Amino acid sequence: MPYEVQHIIGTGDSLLRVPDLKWAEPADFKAGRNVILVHGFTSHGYYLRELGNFIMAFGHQAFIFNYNSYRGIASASDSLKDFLLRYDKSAGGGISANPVSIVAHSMGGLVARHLAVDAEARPMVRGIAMLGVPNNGCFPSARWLSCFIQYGEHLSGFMPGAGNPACLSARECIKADDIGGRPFIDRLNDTWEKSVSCPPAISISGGKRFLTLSRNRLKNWLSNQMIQAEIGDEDNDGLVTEKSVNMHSAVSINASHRYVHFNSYPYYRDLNHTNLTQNQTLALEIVDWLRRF
Amino acid sequence: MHGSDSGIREAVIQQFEVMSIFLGSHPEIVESMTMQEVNEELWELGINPKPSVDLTELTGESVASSGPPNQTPFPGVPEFIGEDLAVRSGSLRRLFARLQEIEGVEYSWVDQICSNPKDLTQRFEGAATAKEFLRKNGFMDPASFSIDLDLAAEYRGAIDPSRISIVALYPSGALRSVPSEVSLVAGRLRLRIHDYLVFIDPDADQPTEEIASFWGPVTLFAIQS
Repeated sequence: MPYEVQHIIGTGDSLLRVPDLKWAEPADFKAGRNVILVHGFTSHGYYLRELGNFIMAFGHQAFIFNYNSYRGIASASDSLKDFLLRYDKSAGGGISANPVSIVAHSMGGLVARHLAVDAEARPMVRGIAMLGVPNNGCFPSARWLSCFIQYGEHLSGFMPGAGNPACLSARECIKADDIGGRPFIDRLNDTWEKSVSCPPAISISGGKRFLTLSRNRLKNWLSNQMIQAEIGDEDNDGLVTEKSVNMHSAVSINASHRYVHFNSYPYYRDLNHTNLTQNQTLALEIVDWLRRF
Repeated sequence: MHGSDSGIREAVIQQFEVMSIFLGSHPEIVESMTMQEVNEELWELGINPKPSVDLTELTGESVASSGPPNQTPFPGVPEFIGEDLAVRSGSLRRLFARLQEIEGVEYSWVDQICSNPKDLTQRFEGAATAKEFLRKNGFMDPASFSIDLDLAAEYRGAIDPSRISIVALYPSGALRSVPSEVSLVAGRLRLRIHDYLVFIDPDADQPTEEIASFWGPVTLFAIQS
């Protein structure tokens, strides 16, 4: 199966099982505890396979949700919900009886949270672990968007459909989608705050203020200088601020939310937005957190 | 990297000689070429790095003026440094040939290319350090510029700006999406591009030390999904 964003855009979203990355089968949901990995904006889930393999070693069945990340957070969430409903049906209620946990990177966390506040999908979600998720959005700027697209294409290859800043997901992530109402992320946070049945959640942040955006060192340096100039002096992972990852800044959290934020680990200053998914300590933290629910 | 003055002169003379021999053996080419086309061929051979072209004619009226912000199509955004921007139109045939040169990549989107390509080069001043380069070339300031792309013949009258993506092709063969505001103005696609970074090849390291200046070339074209 081609691991290209263009393939996802051309053929539609998919739910793949780890480690062979073939389409999931109903029987996959009947054994053990299930974990779905959800990638970020401008990407595909191939970069999460190593984390998936690691989670598998602790007795879980891992899956990767590959989705077209340009159509908006709700579209991606609806697509994942549709997969869960279909597999729940074909697996004889296996997902309702044994809800899935979600491990999400970047925008993928917003997809997971939107899924978790959907009345129909909520019973099928056990918990959400979020890595570098912009829970209060990213800083809005056309220059920032340019760097964001560079970043995505450096990681995942050229995506001719990605360049239009009118793309709904980009507008949602920078909270520029508020024409006629509140931005999507603010509405999601409002719903989350009021909900008494949110699944347990953990957010994890990184603190290295530099991203690799291209092979050209000069371009990298210039891009990062511009990003950091826009962010100011706040802690950030090169793309998303510490405050945005930490839901406490956007949502009035109470005990019913069963939410924790984690950034007290030895490599905090060494991990940027990309490397959050590739650190063994954080993978162990996630596995330990999954074990509790 | 620039060589010595004498080295540059020798290279230019050599290129002129090659050009003269070629054109001398093919007089029909010279007769069929306009002065503009001759200049473009010279530019392509590296003899003339900045062809003398009518920017207004090539780009529409919105390109790279140095007027105050309130005279721009997008008020509040400082204008690009116009005198350093060189632009010329390219042909789809040449773009396809260039894409074909890049090995190992299959382009499912080639039949969605809906504009003629446009080549842009921006001159940058060299600097001893990246920090100095940033300061000398104004990268910390918001900068944007407009450019018009001519539509390919089969797309005239069948364009939806909301489905347009702008693509940059670099000398290294790298292809990148370019976030830009796109509108249809007088049968052309008008782009508003928000950054100087578009001129720096992502896949080729660009030394800035020990050079007075260099040109950042890029070819832009549009795809309709």
